[in-house]
Amino acid sequence: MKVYSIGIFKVTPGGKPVLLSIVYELSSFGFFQRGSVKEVSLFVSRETVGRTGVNERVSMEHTQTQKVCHTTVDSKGLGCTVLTDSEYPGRVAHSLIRLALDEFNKVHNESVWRAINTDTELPTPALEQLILKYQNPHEADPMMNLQKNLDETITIVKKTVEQLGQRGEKLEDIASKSDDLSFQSKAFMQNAERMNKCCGYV
Amino acid sequence: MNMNSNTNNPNQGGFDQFGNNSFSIKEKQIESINRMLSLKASDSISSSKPGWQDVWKILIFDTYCSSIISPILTKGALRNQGITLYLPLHSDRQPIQDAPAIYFVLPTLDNIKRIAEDCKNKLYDNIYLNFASKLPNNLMEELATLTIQSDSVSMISKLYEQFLNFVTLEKDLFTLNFPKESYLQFNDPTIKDSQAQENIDSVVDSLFSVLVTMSVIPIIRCPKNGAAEMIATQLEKKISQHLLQSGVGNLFSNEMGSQLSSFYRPVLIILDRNIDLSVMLHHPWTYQALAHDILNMSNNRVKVDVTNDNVTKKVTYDLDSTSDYFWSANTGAPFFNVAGEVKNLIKDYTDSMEKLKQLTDVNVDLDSDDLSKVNENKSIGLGDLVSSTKEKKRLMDLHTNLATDLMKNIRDRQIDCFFTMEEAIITRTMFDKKELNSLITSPVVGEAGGKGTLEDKLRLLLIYYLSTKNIPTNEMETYEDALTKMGLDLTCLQYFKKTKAFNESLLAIVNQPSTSTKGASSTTTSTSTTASGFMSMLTGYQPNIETFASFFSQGVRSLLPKSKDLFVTRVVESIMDLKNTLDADYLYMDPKIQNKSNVPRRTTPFKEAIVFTVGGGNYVEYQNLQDYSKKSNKKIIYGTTELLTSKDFLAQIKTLKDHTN
Repeated sequence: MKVYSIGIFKVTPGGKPVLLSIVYELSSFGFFQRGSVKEVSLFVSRETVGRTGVNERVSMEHTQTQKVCHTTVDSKGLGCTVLTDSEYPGRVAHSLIRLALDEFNKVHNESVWRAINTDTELPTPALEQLILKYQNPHEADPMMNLQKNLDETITIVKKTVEQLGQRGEKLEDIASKSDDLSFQSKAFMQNAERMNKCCGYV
Repeated sequence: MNMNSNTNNPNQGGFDQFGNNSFSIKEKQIESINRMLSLKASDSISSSKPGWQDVWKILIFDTYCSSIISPILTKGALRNQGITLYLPLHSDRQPIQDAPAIYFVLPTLDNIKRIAEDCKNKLYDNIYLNFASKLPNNLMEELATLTIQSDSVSMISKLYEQFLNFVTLEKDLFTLNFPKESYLQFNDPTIKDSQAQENIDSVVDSLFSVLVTMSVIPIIRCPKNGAAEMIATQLEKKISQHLLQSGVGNLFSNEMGSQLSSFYRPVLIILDRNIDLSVMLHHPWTYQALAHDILNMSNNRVKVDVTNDNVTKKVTYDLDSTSDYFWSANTGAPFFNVAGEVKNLIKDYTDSMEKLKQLTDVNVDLDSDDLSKVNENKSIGLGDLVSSTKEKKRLMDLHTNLATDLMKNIRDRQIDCFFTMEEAIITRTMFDKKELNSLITSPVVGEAGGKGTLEDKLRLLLIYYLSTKNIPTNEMETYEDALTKMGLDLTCLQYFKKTKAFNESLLAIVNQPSTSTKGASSTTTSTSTTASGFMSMLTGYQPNIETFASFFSQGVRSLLPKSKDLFVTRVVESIMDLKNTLDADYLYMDPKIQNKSNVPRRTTPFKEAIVFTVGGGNYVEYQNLQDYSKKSNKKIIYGTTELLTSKDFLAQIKTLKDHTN
């Protein structure tokens, strides 16, 4: 069970989400593959959070790679994404999201991030600690079992990658428009989807 | 302006004493080594003519430094520098009095210990230590401690850190020979972070040495997301910091000043091996590349099977472009031409022998009055003729034997067929499917109807697999079954199958299916220009596969050499000519600019480039770049972590596959 990244974005309706802060934990990937993995992680995070409604909790799974992107956007337009593998419990991921948003708000004033319009890195050391702590969901969230019962009223919308696109967009088209991906990564995603063998090296 | 290139001056920024820009790494490394070896002379009080006692020196080297010196300095050249004796570091050596010893070694703990032991045993009077790269502090302390303990610190006269940790094989070819199994090291998903970082550090260090030796600060370009980017970024930082700290007296400065050198700034292109793997499997067809692939030429040295009177023995030859004019002229020649040239060489030699016979012929009419005059005329130029004839014989023997051995292998294994088929596949020209099938599924060489060894067949199959987008499953199965039945282990193929998705991304652009682009009016222009840029790069100057096919029918295949730029060559061309196709994916770094957020771009095309592949390279790629550089009148130096034969490369792939399970 792994948490790969925690990202904070400023989400504006109709616009591209702006990256405010992001941390990664990619030690499970080969040393020389981490660059590409980061790229794809950022791309997936940004696209998913951009298509998440306000106060909606989404857990989007990519079945072939067994990776899940959990997102939420709060009422102020602050979005948070957490990338995990498919084993990781979705509820814990969402409570991690809540924590991450809290930590971010503690350190960064709303007026600060509202004004930002291009990707930046607002340092948030608490996120580094969170991503390490939450690698083990049981330790990090001992209330997990208890929460399970209480949270039944909170719905998490489970989506698949195919549903990500709006107005009939396909993942390939989204990928080709994205600036996050280098040309090679884009072509790779296009092709890998077609062959149903995405990220075989991962 | 002082333009004399005497030994005390640092590198002249790439210019020789006539102001000509000689972009030759071999020349520069020889200069550096000579400066290192002549250090004693600059020490001595007498200036112009050192007495003969001062000149004689001993050279002590380790294995790595021996591999640096042997391809570029002959025994004669060493003698010219006053080296009369050269010995390996890790060997039993006798004390020699009254002679300075120059050590040229890598900074390792074993070497340090042995040096300290030499000092303790007082083998030599004065020791000049030269480390091929930076000596780490802990090793310096170790050396100090050991020599103080034996009270022999005074034996060490000088200690230098050179920037020579790379091996130069030709004036435009170098290799690091490190890390060993570099393809594996830079692609292994199970590698420890610390080991990976160590490997990166050593490559960065060697590249830094290359740049210092050539006295250039290049623009650096590399693809994103891989070992190449990590190495390039770290190298740029290292140069940048060095310039900041050392200011005017930095390692790259030269007498000419910086105005002229900026004119000649080359581009350093650092590439991951993965952008083109098929070249590593390609059967070569040029003389030097064949010597490497078939006979395992290493460090310009090759072992040849020579048959005399039915007795075959192995003879070792050194192939040196500087002293061997035949080799120099024919390294890149197609093998058929070489055979013809060797015939010319033989004819040249026999003519020479004839002339010699005439001059030394003692069939003179003894009754003639003009006896003395006749003898006089005949002896002019005799000495030169004898030595040049001797040299011709040496070369003739060498190349006849080499070409014969190569010929035997080519004929037995039918390498020309494999080469032609692979070339057609790689350059996407028409080829005969039946022939492909025959080459792969026929028995191995030695049996009836045999074509190629198992390895030859595997190479062809892998190239076909890597270069072709959609191969029908049953077709692949036919090939795989045939090869497995013959006893071939298909692990390497499994590895490429797994990573094909990645490599296919390049092919996807070539064969753009019309359906996905038709309705997508939202496709941005930037994507389509880069796509078409890649397309034109991959298919040469025929962007449309249909029109291409219409020009050629099955039977017609051009026998004339035409431009067959490999992928790396196309990338290099694109970068040197400042085409924007790669900008999205390739970083642009300038170590001279300290403000990294605003780096002004070069506006005139590059005339010179250093191309470095991380994870291995070979002579086929080298030759292809040289062909391009001649055609376009540019200067290109090719370097890599290791020069690998296909066999070596496949062995690493196999290990890699085992690690990815």
